[in-house]
Amino acid sequence: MNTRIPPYYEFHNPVKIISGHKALENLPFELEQLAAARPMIITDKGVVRAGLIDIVKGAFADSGVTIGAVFDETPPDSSVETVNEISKIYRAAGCDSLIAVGGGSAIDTAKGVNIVITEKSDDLSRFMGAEMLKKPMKPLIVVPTTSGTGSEVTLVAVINDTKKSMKMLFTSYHLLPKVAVLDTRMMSTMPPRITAATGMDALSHAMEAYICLQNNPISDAHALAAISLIRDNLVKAVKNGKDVDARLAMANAACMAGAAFSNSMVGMVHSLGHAVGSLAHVPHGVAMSIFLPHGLRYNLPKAAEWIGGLLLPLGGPEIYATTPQAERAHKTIELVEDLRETLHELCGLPLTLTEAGVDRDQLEAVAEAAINDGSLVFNPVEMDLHDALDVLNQAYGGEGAREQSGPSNRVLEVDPTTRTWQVHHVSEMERRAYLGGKGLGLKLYYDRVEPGIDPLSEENMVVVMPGVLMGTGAPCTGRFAAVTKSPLTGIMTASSCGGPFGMALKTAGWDGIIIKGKSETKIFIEVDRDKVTFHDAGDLWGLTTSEAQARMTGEKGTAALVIGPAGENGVRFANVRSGDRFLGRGGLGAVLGSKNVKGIVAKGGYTKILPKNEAAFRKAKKRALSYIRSNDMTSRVLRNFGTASNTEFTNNNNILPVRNFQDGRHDEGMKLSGRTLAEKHASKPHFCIPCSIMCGHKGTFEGKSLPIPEYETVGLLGSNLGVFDGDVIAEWNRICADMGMDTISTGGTFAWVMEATEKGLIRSELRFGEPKGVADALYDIGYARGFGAEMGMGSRALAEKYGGEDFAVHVKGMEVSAYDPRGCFGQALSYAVANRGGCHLSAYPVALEVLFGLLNPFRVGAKADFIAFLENLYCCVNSLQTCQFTAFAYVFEPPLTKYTPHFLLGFIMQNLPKAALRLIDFGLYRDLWSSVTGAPLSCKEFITAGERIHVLERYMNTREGIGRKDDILPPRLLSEYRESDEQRRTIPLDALLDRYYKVRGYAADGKPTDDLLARLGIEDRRAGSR
Amino acid sequence: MQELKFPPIPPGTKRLKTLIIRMVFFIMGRGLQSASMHDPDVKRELASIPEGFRIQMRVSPCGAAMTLLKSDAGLRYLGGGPEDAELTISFKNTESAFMVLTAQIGTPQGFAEHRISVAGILAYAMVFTRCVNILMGHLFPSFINRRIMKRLPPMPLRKQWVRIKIYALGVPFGK
Repeated sequence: MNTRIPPYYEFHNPVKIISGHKALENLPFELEQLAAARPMIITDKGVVRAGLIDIVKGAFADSGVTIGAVFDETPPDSSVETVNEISKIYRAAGCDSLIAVGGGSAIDTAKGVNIVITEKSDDLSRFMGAEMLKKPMKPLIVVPTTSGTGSEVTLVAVINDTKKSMKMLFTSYHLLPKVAVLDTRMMSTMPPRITAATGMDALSHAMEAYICLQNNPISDAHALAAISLIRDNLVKAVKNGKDVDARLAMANAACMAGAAFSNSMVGMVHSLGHAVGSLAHVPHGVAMSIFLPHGLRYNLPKAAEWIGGLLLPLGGPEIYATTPQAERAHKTIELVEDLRETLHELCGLPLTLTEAGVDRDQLEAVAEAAINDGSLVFNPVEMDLHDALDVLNQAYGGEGAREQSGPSNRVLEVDPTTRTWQVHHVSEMERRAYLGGKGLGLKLYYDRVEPGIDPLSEENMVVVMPGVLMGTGAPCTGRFAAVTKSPLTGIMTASSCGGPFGMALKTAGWDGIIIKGKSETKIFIEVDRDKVTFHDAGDLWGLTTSEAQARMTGEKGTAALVIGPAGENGVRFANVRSGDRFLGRGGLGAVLGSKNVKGIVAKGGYTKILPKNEAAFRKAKKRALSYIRSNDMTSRVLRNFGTASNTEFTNNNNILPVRNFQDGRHDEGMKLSGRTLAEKHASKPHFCIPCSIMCGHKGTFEGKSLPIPEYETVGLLGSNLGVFDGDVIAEWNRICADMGMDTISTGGTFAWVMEATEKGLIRSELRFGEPKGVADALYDIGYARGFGAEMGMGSRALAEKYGGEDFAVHVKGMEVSAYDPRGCFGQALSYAVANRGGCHLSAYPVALEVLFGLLNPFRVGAKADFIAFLENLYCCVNSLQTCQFTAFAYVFEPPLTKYTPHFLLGFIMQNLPKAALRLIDFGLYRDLWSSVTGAPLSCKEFITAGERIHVLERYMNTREGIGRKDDILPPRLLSEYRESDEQRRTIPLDALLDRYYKVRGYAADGKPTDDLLARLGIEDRRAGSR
Repeated sequence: MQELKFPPIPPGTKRLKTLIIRMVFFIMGRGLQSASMHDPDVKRELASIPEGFRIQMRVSPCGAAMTLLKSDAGLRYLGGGPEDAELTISFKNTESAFMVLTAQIGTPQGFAEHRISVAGILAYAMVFTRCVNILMGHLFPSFINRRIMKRLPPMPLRKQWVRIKIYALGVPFGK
């Protein structure tokens, strides 16, 4: 262990320390030495109740010193009002010195009083900051009653400004007390849990003082000695509060740690602790205990040597000597965790933020406050908002969180019919072949459900699958997938969703949940780490998603997946809600509703997921974060303006759907751009956790705080209906959310109804460009009232009944998303062949064609190759599972892509697609998956898994009768021209399809060939039925 | 007049270093004004600071200063006048200011070595420090920044335009 001498340092500790079993008896003598004769005592009710103040008063017997006044109403948080009130009492009583008796609050209050008295001003805010106090102060003697804060030797005071809801920080050498009295009698009544928490506070002071930037050899000596004392005495003091030797040792440890950090300062553990204390009212010592191992782990990249150095005082010489140097830092963290576990068992000291009563919704605000905390300056490693959220998320854990290496490989199979459940264990082969998330979900569905079933029958299943990255803290991995047979399309649908449910399910120890069968009565399902409970949902039926969610997630650490009235009433495009995110497309909500299941509640936080190969994971995560931070789309565009930023490029390039896809741009289109919405509605981030892109936002709409609508919503519920008013669209978005309806299909269906009304096919009050009647109609759909019940079947069903199939803009029954494919032929092909129907996310070639201008949007060449590749890649992404937006960063930021000149990159992609695809570096996704699962996989095997997933889904659809005849676009998109398209282009769909089938290895009828299925190892469960 | 054997010594001046500090303050002031117009990260950071808020960096006790005003969602450089400010970040002496402002040591090290003190709301000082870090990312090449910062601010291609704007328009014209 090396001793460090910084190029410059300061150390100042003039406090006289008196330590002993009856040290207080010297109080009168010390006052005399300070030329004081009339002290005022500042304490709190707890100290008085414990009888401790009597011990202090007793020390003045026979001394001739009169105590001027005893103020015993100090609140738990020192406040300006209290400080000013005490100052008046001090002056009125003619006192000449201060004695603080208590914990941090009483001591800080006394320091605040000293400022007011000395500066003769009751405006404390004038002196806020570092080293602003210039005058010598009144003598202050401190008698601590806890062993943790170290305030008796620190130059810091924190006073709460209750009017401004702000904590004022004062640091000055003048604030240091003259004398600190450590008397064991004053600590002997401290309860075990407070003893433990304050002891961990002292440990965090010593450890952070030692590893942070302002370290110096004198502080180091104090810190190391404090840690040794804590090692030998903290557990003893917790077990037996009457052990006076242990108490005295802990008092000295806290005092020395205080002297250390008063001169060396502290770092991120305290930044997070201050923030969680101020916003979630977690006691400081508890917060320190929770964050300490996380903070040490976070600082490993720059402070491993010094963290390793802490092993000697923490573990003792034997452990230190037998631990190889490279492992000492990790061993230190392990011992801190062991100590926490011991204290947890002895007195229930919380191990996680969940146990400390913090709500997950508070984490964003805590992270923001933490990065603005002054301690952070001294932390060895930079911590930004995303890093803080990552650490908070790791610390969130749950009651009794236990570490789990890699995925649990346990999938819950729940049958509401019989109210039974069983566990499916995922084999290594399934994991390698289908990765997790969407891929594994499809495989589990395929193995269990016959083709030809009615999607709303009890034979159908819903499979909800968080991926292997969920819970590891990898960027943008707060997402999960769900798979079912869609009642809207009659074929498979897979949907992806953020929100808290995935994390809760995963940290409850489950890699997925399968719901099959049908309950006789209305229920909701509660999933715990070791059991499933079926609850009556009679009183929840009919509630909106937000109401139901609030009712079902009262307990800390729980999260719900709920349906709204639309799901209950079989609306074919009903979605499922998790927080403020949705399993949007294909009618998953209706399938759950058909099973009489209002929702699923997961009680998470039991499991902490660790990657199997931590070093490889850290490396991959670092690269991932660096790519996200340097990519323009992920670090600026989406972060600042959300997905609605797409409106700019779609409107400018004639692919924004206007009036049921009758046109591709509109003069008012920019009113719906992300920039306009962000500026007009004062947007603030509101994103999935963990997320490093932060595309989700909330804003103020006519006084209400609502999510800023996504691009697909402003496209389909806005421009596609001829409406360009953000306030109106946000309100419709809210209604859809509460009813539980997909905004894309809802918008597509409304557009058909408006045009059918114009053309006289039906009668309704809905008109393009007129908001009137839309809100009522949305409720009618959700509650299946009147014509709303028919609208709830979707545009294909309406067109089949009333005519107007030419302008029913759907593919395979699913309404098309907000990119008009007549302006990007790759997107046209992608819509036509997407497995779930009119879906933009299957390959998203519009980004390459229009957004980045790398592929000519109107040429056939290269499209099939890129779409097949992107479908495979996105199947991988949705199986890890992470956000698809990461592809902007992970695929475009690796050096070869990033530094190839744009024109050259475009030329190669357009003209030599196979070569271009070979050069694309998507290895980061593979690295993340492999490091978490511990299973080595080559990039070729990885992308083949994506291909296998896509082809399996296609094969499942072809078993339902899907083929080339269905890989088609609606007549409007294939044969109608738009006014704004002067070239009058038509989509060459046949040519595109021919090439695509060839690239894919499908037969001419669009079905996967036997050879292809055999190559990918997709087995036919029923021989000869292919 | 009789000469004293032990005469009082009036304070001297460190003319060159003070001149350099004034120049750096000028470049920083103009640079921050420009970055607050062009750099989205600086804009986002500044959103939490109230309008009309003044921030001053100065050399104690009576050296050079740089004052900025939060105005119209950006920062306005007010020059080095002796204005009152809600947040004052002071270098304890000319040498400390010179070391930090000429990138010999970083801001975190400056704080750790007690060379800088803060008067005012610390949270805003943290926000301001992050803005200064972003500006440093624009002004200095990465081999210098790597020495003085804990982590380099991301500098993607689009930020190169911001850098050019700061150099070409920001520092000379405050645009």
